[in-house]
Amino acid sequence: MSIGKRGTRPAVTALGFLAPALSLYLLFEIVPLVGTLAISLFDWEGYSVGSMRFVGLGNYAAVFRDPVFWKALGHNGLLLAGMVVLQSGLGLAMALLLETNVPAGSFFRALFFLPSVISVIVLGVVLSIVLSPSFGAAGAALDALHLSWLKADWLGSPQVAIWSVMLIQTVLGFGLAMFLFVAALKAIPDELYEAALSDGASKLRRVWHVTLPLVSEMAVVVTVVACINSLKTFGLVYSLTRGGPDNGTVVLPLWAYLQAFSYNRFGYGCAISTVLLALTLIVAGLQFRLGGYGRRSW
Amino acid sequence: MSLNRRILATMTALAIAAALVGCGKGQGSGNTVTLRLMTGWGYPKVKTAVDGLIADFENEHPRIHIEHQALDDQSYPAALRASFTSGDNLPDIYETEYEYAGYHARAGNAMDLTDWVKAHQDRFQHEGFVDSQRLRKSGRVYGVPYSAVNMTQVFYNVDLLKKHGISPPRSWQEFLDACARLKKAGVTPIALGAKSEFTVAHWGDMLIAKQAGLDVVDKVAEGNLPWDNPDFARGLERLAELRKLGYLSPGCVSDGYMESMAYWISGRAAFFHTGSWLVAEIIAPKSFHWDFFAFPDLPGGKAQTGENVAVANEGFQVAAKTKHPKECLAFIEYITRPEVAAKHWVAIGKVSPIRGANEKASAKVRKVAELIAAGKRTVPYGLMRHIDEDFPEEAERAFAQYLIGMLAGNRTPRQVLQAVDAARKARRR
Repeated sequence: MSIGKRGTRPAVTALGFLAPALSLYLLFEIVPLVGTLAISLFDWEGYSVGSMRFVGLGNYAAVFRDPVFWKALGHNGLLLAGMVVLQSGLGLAMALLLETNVPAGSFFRALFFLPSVISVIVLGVVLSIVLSPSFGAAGAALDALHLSWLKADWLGSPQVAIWSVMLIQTVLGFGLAMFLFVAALKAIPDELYEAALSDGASKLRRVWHVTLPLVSEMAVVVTVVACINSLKTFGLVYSLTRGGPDNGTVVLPLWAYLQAFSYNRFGYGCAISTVLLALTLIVAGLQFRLGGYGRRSW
Repeated sequence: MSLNRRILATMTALAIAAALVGCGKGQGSGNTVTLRLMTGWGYPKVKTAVDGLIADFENEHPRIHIEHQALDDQSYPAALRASFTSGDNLPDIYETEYEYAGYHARAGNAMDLTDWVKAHQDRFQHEGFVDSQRLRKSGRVYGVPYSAVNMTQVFYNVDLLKKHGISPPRSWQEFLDACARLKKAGVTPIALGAKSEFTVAHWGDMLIAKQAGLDVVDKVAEGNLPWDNPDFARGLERLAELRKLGYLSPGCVSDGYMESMAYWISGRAAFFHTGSWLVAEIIAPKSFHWDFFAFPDLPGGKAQTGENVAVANEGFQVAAKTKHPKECLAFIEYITRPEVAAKHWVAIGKVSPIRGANEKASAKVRKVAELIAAGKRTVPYGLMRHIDEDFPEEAERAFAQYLIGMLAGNRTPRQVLQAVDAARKARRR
């Protein structure tokens, strides 16, 4: 009896410490999530509770028949691939470069990380003005550099706009990946490099056999973050293109938002959000599983 | 009873008393009735005007007190919706833009004002404005219009036109000639920012209304003509031609409304098409001289003289569940008097749909009011929204996005119309 009491006391204490955070998490994460799932089963314009009509899985069936949903999913897939490959790759490359005692390394680390702490909406608005073919600074700069042939409406072509968004997202976001990789690089013990050096390993082999294996766990984290961010992309697309031209950059979170708040189809918007949530969980779960995250010990 | 329990009991009693006092204030204390007015008019100039109007009303009706909650216009529609869905802070009277008026009416939030409006019909300039608060299918009216917006004008840079020896165009051909001359002189003829969607949709609305005429628009709305009919398509072809001829600003697809307006105000483009709200809202240096002319008729266009694209974009609805309907109607009656609208509304640059309210307005407001008054028959801008009353937002956004696609060279006018039709049919399923 007394053993049981002693055993439960730490659990109760822990629960007491967790309670504030847990209650906030329940209130602001779990309750809205359950609400989203519930509303997705209704046809509802969102103007009065009395006008809710239960449609079961009807909204989900409509989602899979919606051509713009598939278009948005394709764009999310493209952004996901771009962010995983380009953003993580560029982040790792820059981290490796800046850790080799290049001049002004700290300055560049801060510079590259800066966009990660600025609102994407602000960045999107500024960039859409800079890239405007009407009066943007980008066009004038290209003219000054005798590169006028590069001038184009980068955000105004349905075929090109999504690639422009991907590029912008990569440039704005690789700083965070770089930051995480720098942290992982700094945690690698010098003895391992010294041992490799004494074994006669070249610089490239040291990177291949020492650095990369030791940052691989962080690489999983970086790619998971990149995946989640790419699936959640909203602010940048909204401020740069609003999903246009001709739905050429529409992504799932934006499509869900438009359905719920512009077209007054709350149930349908919630159904898209639920599908997006499921996709995010699957992708993140797969990455952790395939990346062997947490199963390695050194 | 222990001391703690006594303290608890005292505090509970105080809390209940405070709550009762609070309730008393909200419901009307003594002979005074408090009405809650909710608007999206948090912009200082507009809020001041409405507060002045309320003060005058309260002077005339000392028994009625108006509590005005003015939110910013961006967050207002969602906040109002949240009030109705949660049942908290329900307004007695609320401002609603015509885009949302139908939704509130269908959801049962708004009181049926058909009889009141019928009894006061002569107060409004014409039926078209009342239609902005009417559900077409039932014919019932759920609000009163309060601001009028006209789409049938094109704004222009006075100095730029003068410099190039161009008079304000009176026909489509003159408009095209002016564009050609400006382009030759290295000036962008027309500033357009399609990213904002409504901008390009307004061009589409005007060209369809002018080309097809309101009879054809009505036939499509009634389902007696297909959406991709030749008249609609020909109207959109005009816009495609403007793009093809290089008359639209280079960033017409990727710029937004504000950027395109800045492009026009900075003197880089000569013409700018938008609603008459610009008369009240324009922010430009004093050295920038602007004016507007009536949107030209199209050659071969079927629009009859006196057909107009205008709407009462702002209005008032009374909450269906208000406990003070009589007092709410007293407020509605007061604000729709011409002298009241003139003093508090027209004075800040708004165009009033109320007969006789615009007579002492500024020259430009009067000019808009005259353009509106010349319209004997009116359809609202947001033509697709008007045509498909069941799924207005979907039709409107699809129209705008596919028009942007047309400007980007991705679609033909017919494909735009077919895609809009397909989008709304898919929604219906």
